[in-house]
Amino acid sequence: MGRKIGYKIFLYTTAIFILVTILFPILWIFLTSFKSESELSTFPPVLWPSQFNFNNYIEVLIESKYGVFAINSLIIGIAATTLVLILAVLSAYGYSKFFRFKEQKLSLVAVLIARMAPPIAIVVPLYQVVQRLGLYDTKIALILIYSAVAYPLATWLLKTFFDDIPESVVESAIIDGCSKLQVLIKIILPLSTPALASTVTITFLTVWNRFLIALTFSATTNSKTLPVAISALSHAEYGVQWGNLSAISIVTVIPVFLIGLGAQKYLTAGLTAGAEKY
Amino acid sequence: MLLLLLVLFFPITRALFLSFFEYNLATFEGAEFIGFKNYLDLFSNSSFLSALWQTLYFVGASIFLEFVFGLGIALILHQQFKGRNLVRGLVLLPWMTTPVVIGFMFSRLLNASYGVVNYIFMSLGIISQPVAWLSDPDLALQVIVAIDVWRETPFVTLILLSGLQVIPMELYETARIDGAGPWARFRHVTFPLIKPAIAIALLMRTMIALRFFDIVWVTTRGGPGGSTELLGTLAYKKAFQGFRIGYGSAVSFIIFVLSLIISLVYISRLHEQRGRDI
Repeated sequence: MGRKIGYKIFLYTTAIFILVTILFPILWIFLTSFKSESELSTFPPVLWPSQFNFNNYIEVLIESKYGVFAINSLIIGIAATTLVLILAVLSAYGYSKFFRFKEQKLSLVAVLIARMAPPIAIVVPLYQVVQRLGLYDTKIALILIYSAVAYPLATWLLKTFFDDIPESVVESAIIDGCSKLQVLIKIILPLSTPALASTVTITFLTVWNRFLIALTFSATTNSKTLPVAISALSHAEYGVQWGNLSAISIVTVIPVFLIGLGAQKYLTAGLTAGAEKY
Repeated sequence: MLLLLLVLFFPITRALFLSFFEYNLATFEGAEFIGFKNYLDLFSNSSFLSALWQTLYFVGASIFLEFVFGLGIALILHQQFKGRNLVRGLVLLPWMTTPVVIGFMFSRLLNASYGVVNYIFMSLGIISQPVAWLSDPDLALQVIVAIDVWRETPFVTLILLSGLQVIPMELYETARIDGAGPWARFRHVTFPLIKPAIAIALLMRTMIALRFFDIVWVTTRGGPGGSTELLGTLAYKKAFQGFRIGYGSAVSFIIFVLSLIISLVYISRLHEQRGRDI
């Protein structure tokens, strides 16, 4: 009996330790974002701000241009996710077991390899393309590049989910006179809402969090995203504005946490399927 | 597919092509074909070689630690205890957090003058005076590894946990009846059965770790004294700050080749696994 209690104590202490390690840094920055100028530079540091003041948020979102970056991030995130979803649904349907064509295998491998391509390897040569097309520092450029980078995983995920749909369902629809496209819209899509939710969640989160591509292709308020703004601020010429940075960091992660925790079931399913399914 | 071709495959071929040229955007001269000279330069250049070693060290160290912690946490979260679902839900938070925010967060927490980590370690008596975690050339890379472990362990945990969940309970019962203790059960039941999940988690992590960029860029930018320079930051700096497009392309092509090797192993691994399932 004593061993059992010891085991329980061990489980709970490690579980609490894990939680603290995960939550402490995030919580610390959250509290920092409410601290006043003087509380930011004391040692020993204070955990709890003496009073919660929203100055940092007001400065960041209203008095300066960071609100624009948030809107840019949002527009780019939503547009890229929509584009990826449309393209990926169509091509995943084509790649699924409901179609057979000669180049299917080969182009599937191409999709898989594309999924593995590191952004840093494409960013250098793409820079010239973007500039020649006159798309440097535009939201369009970021939307298109992000879509292309997110497309392979989305297609892959949807394909594996579509493959799980029983053939008989589709066959009976075809006998009833549905065209291939009608089968997709009327049968397959309604059956795959969880798969679509997984794809949307993962695509949006990765697009929102991406940094290197936006760092390379944006320069002004036209297209700068939140991560680029944060990185610029944390190497500011006149010293780092810790309070403002904390506030804008919290603004950046709020949507991610809301979506990630809200759609956690789909996120987990998508991540494991994306890694393991073939 | 066309978008994919334009945004992914074209740049990679173009990178390979450019890497054979001396192409400096700052001198307004056209590209000049120099064959393998960029590559020869690279391998005799000490800053490239140290970035290469540091990258390999970073990949090895962070993946080893992520595996150890990830497996430990997955095993704990596989046990029955109250609040398990809450911990499982929150454990993914670091993975969701925007990498740039993570970079800023830890540069605040680890700040030499008013960072809370110094305060905690000093009160616990681990260190006697404040440590400049990120500006000490001997420490900075280790700290970067630690930050990456914080972010990526949840991913490994998730993949391993999904591997654990498909192990049939009866196997453990049988082992117990045969008189196997906890260690023997882990060694002969759990471990062999999650080996495929381990392989996949580690391969995916290696691919992602090779292109590591965001967090270093925000925290140290490769400094101090190049001690945290990785292939990703080096390629970016050469191409966009030194305007040596050809040279930067060569570095980024090396990253691509390294991750291509890992991804081919990964793909064949998935292939094998599917063969076994059928």
